[in-house]
Amino acid sequence: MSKIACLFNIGNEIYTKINNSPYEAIRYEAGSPIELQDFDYCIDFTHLNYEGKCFLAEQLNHQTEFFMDLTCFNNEEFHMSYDNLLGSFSSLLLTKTNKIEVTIKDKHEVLEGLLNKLELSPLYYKNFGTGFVYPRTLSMIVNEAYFALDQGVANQTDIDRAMTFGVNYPRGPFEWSFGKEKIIVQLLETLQKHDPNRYEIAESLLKVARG
Amino acid sequence: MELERVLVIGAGTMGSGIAQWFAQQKISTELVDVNAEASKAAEAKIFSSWDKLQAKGKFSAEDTEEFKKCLNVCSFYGFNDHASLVVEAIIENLDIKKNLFLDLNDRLAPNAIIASNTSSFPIELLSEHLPENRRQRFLGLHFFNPATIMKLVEVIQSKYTDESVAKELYTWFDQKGKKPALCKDFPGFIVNRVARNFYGEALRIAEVEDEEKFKEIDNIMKEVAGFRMGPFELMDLIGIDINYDVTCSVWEAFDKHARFAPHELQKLMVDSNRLGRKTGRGFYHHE
Repeated sequence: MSKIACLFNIGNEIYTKINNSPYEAIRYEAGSPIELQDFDYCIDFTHLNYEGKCFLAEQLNHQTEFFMDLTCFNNEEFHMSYDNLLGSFSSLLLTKTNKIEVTIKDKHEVLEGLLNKLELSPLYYKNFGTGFVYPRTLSMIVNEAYFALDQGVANQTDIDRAMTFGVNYPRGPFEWSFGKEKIIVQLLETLQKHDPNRYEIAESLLKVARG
Repeated sequence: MELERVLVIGAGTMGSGIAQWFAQQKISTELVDVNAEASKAAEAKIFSSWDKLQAKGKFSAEDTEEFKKCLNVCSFYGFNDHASLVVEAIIENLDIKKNLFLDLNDRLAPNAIIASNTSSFPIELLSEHLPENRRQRFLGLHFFNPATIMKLVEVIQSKYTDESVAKELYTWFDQKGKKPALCKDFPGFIVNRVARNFYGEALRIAEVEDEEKFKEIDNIMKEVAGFRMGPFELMDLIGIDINYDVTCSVWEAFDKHARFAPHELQKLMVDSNRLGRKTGRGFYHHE
């Protein structure tokens, strides 16, 4: 039976759901070396900055076949750079649907098996670009809500209320992004590399993310 | 705050929906339009709507009868001058609106509130020509279609609006079961501004005309994110041209900032008259 390492950051809620054979949950510290030669596969759920993710990907690529959460990055770049990267997915902004976007060349039973165990359903999407559909769109909605807040258009409660009762959003932008501001800002910073004007980030959002 | 009498000007889709909602609050509501036939047709449609809702058990016979008594359709120049609140929902033409407000100012009591349902014009621009005391009692009330079902009403203060008037109306709508959102007079108010990149980002992810991609993106936004409709199917439903106009309007109002820039794919659709469901073809083919 395949032995599968699952990497998590501190505070990642998925961490608590898995730690039995064939899966081993490993808490990973950014920038630290990792030994995974005994594992057949690695599934990386960590939230790291770009340098940290590249450092980890480089290590994994030499040791095992792996799947990686690339919510905040250009997954095409990673797929081209790392031969043993079998697929990427986005799990850092989970919603009540418990469905996640997965970009993969062929469906893989190892990833499917773990997602099944985590009660997550994959939605396969052949997107090789920056970010995934839902996180990118959400980030821009949230960003604009913060711009509106900064300009004094309305308060957070009324902005959330407007978007849920005016256009039936599942949640208001502030409620939706609460606690996830760092992830959203990181994705916007990645997108800024292509278009710094379009992906300019609201000051108060930056402040919350860095605070 | 007590609203004893409401006047709704404009018997189009929004105006008639707004009038219907106020009448359902059992408030004496007048609905007028320059086109008398339009007013009559709106009244017939509203009455029919109430009859159907009563048949479904949503309203009692007594309530329906009272709603009908509360709604009065009359000629444009024959409306009662004693309205506590006037809601303007006429054509989005600045000069016509401004002239209307001048006329209303002369006819209405000094403490009457005038509100515009506009989504295109700054509230300040609509009221700047009015005397100071009226400007203070002038604001935006932006309802969402259909006004009888969508709970949101944006309560928009211009720099002239007396804050207490806006807040009292906010409280009043809240007490009546609406979900008011108080906002300042910026382009797009809240919803039309914040929602822009629900569409804009989807267009940039798709990049080119590819119905399979549109379907994938819509599917992800529904299945993963939990939206009721995806961006492309929603644009097809609303009308790609309508959506494009709002996008351009907000973009220009924000000095053409890149965050709001329209996408060439959307322009291509509009230029080739592929506007969505209403033309049988948009991002999707429609039977």
